[in-house]
Amino acid sequence: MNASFLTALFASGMRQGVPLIYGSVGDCVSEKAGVVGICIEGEIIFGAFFSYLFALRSGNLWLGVLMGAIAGMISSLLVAAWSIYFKQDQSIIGIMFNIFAAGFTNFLNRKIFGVSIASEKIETFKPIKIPGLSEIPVIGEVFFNQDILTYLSIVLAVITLLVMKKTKLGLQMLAVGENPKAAQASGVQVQRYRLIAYMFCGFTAGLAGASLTLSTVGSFTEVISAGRGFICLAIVILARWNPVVACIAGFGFGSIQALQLRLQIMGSVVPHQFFIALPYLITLVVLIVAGHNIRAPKELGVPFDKESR
Amino acid sequence: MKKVVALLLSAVMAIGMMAGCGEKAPAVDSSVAVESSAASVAESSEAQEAEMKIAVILPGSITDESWNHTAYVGLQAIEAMGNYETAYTENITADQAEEYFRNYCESGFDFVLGHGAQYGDACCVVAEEYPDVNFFITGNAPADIPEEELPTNIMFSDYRECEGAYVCGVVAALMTESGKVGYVGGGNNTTQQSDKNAFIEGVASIDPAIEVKTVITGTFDDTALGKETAIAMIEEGVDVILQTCDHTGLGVLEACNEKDVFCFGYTTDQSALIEKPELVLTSMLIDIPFMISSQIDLIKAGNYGGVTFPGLHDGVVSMAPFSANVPAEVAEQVTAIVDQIKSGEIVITPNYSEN
Repeated sequence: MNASFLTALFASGMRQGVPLIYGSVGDCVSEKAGVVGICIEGEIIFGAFFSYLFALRSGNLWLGVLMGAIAGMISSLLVAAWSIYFKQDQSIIGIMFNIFAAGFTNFLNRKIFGVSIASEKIETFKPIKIPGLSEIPVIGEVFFNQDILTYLSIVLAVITLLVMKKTKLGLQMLAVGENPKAAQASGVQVQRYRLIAYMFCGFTAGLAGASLTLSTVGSFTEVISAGRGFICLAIVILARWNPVVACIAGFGFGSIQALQLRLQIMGSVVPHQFFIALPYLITLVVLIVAGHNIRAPKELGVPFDKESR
Repeated sequence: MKKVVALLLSAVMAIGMMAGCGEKAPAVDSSVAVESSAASVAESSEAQEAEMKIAVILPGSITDESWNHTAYVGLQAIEAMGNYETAYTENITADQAEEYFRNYCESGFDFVLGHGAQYGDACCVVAEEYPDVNFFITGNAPADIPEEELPTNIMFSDYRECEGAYVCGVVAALMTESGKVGYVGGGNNTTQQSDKNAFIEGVASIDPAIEVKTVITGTFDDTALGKETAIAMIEEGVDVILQTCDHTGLGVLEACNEKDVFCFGYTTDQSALIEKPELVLTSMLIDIPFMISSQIDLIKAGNYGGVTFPGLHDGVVSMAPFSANVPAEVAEQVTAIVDQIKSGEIVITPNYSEN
């Protein structure tokens, strides 16, 4: 357990945490406004596919990032239409959407790239050393020698928190999730606010997908999200709907994942199944230990009907 | 206005669900759920009844450039051989397999293949119910059923993938400079376990002092996790890595490419998948297309069923040409060992123990 081991461990944790941070920051906002983001998983896949497609065809990574985020946002409209305007059960719509997203991106992937050609690689985002800060032992390497999408994810979390806590827009969002009737009475258009929150969630989930293809893998493989969207949901509850805490929790989850890989490498008599389950086990334990007085937004998951009493 | 939007969105979602079902839903209605892999065959089969209807159940997706992709290629090879109608279903877990086997039998398929040892149990159950249908399992027979009690309409191709893994172990041991080599596996099935153990055995046959670091990622689909796994190994000093885990393995190759570390291809020659192909020392090739398509002749000959053990000796398992990074004397030594396995001088018994 020396410094270089810890540095490598947490640097890997940070890299693995980035998609989780993007996904959970967006979900914090949408859940605060009263809509559950079960659909993040599917939006990540959409984001991953379209960011790869556009980055590959245009040769511009930033266009890829933008189109990935927009793809996530547009796909979220589909879910939003059903859950906000047609007032259907958000979880069921979300699960249906995830199945649709996996199938639809597979379909596009095969139509565009075929099944037999070696997938074309793109040059991924490279780590950028932040002068000065990256010289700090351990912390410098972990937090200040990462690629640009990592820095953006942290900035996004901080800005989101500030907007939610300090601005009128943020407070109105909270009201929409806590007491939509009161919000409506004070002139807030509940459904419009929920739509905006949902779109923001789709936007960040798209970024999460982009970070998978454009900063980690360099290509798209089918169902690349591999369950990360669901981890985001747990992180949001753990973080009590606070984007900055979610950022830390995402980093924590990534680090435990990095740790279990390293524990396997060190070799032990413990079966590998235990290590594979470890990140999820710890998430569960933390939820039980630290979650005794978690209070979700009051109207979370409840469709709002303007005309109801 | 609202109604029009609702209608439009429903239409989009419905189309989308169909696209999704193409891969995932049970093959009840063959026109919707079963994807016929070549349009031309579908057309010609309208004119005359297909000679045989063949279906494959796959654990992953056909775009993995590996295990599932080669089965798909095998299916295409069958189609090219004559008037056969083919279908496949992807992403089927072992617990779903029974339902899919049964669905294909009910839809009139004559030959149903389960691509993976994990389907063995389900196949045995269904095979007893449909004695007229022939089955095939790419892997060993379930260990808890005595060989004489296995249904006679199943062929188990207990091919020796572990022989390839053993040879990779030999190459890794001869090529490592740090004295540490790595194995990344995807999951918990007999093929994967025997690969891991044979790799360790192969390394030890050259130098027992070399450390073998192993990680089972638990997933065949998480490319990003595969990459982080390989990076973690490389940081521990590992300088040759074998992966046998499809999409996850592609991430391992990517990490090796980035960090200039030697690796091996799995199932197909995967050197073309990375920018520095010479880092892929060799690939263990498994001729799944041949393994599958050669069954047709056996079925026609009428003596189908049982357990076979293809391997290096009959070319079902083989090694791809060595990369430029492998020195001539290493290549010579490895080729000699391959020959010894072929002739039976070295016998590699699959070892299914987990740890």
